[in-house]
Amino acid sequence: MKKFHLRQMAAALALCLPLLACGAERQVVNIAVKGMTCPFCAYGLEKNLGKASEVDRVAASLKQQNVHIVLKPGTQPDVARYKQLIHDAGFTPGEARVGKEDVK
Amino acid sequence: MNTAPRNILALLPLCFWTAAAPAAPLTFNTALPISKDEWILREQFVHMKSADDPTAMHRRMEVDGLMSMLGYGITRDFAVFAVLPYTDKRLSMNLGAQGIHRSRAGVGDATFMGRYTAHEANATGHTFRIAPFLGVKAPTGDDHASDRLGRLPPGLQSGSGSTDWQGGAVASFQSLDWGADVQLAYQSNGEANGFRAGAVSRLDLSVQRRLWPGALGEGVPSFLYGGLEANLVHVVRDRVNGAEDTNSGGTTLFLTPTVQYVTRGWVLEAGVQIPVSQRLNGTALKNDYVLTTGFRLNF
Repeated sequence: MKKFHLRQMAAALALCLPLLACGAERQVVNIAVKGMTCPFCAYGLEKNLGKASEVDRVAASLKQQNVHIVLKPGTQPDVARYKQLIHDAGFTPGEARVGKEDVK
Repeated sequence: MNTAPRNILALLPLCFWTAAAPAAPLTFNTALPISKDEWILREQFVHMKSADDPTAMHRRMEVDGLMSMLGYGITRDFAVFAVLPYTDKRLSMNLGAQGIHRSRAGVGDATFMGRYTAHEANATGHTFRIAPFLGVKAPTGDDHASDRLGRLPPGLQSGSGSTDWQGGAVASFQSLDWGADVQLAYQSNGEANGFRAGAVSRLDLSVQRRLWPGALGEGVPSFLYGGLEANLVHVVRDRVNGAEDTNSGGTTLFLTPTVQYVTRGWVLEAGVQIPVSQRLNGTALKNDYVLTTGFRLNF
């Protein structure tokens, strides 16, 4: 019986290994930001978006003129809140796209 | 005789209270945003030399100052600032065959300012904003210091002893490649110890250009900006015991080349204000240059 449990656990671990290597699939949100023109302002924007408890990581892109928001596993995006936080940071939010991606 | 060049020192107060945003002017304010709940600390080290004396006294005034500014975004549109200067002022001159040296170091007058973004137009890759501002300089610095020669003149005191009001408006345009700012400002000075410093009016212009990187990469790269600023400053004559000091006040035009290195969390900056035109009243001491270096932190 004990041997049987050990085999099951080993098999389950073996199945999980590829998942660990690829990372988990997370909800992500990309929002266009108008008025973001410099590194110093991008930091304030990222800090403001980090106030949302479900947000894991935020990365602004000056070239793309947007922010990329990665949510914590198992959480749902609140796009209206993110747009308000962008507004509070002094910028104008634009189009938002919600999707999923593998995050390591 | 205006032995201490108060008109030169009058240039300082309006220079250093803000410009908290990136690639902002070094010598005046900006309308660029401070995020809600964001703190910004700015420290500026200033060295000012004024040794162009039209009299035989060969007056020479040097000021080293550390200007500490703390800014906070109360809302996205309304930010407040507090500035506390520490200055070391040194004046030397010849009176007959005798050389005289007087100096004073200490914490100066604290300034408290509010700035409101009244107009804003954001688009992809650029922004335009107009922000009026209003502030008050409180008499927190010592204005009763004396040395072996007696009480120091107002221009050498760390504090003015007076409550002074200042206000104006600044407009800023900023894109990913360049920025421009223009400001109109006015400072009205109160009276203390029988002395009222002349009111200060100024028109400021600034242009900044991103020098590096030439092409934008992904994410948030650091920027190196080069800039040129112009400050047209008019100072009304001081009043001493109700009478005008004819050797004070005047109009100065400064040109200031600047360089700024801007990252996500901090900014390094430097510039030198060069007086290209000084039309000062009477024997007022002329300025040679104002050197400014400093940093800003975003937290």
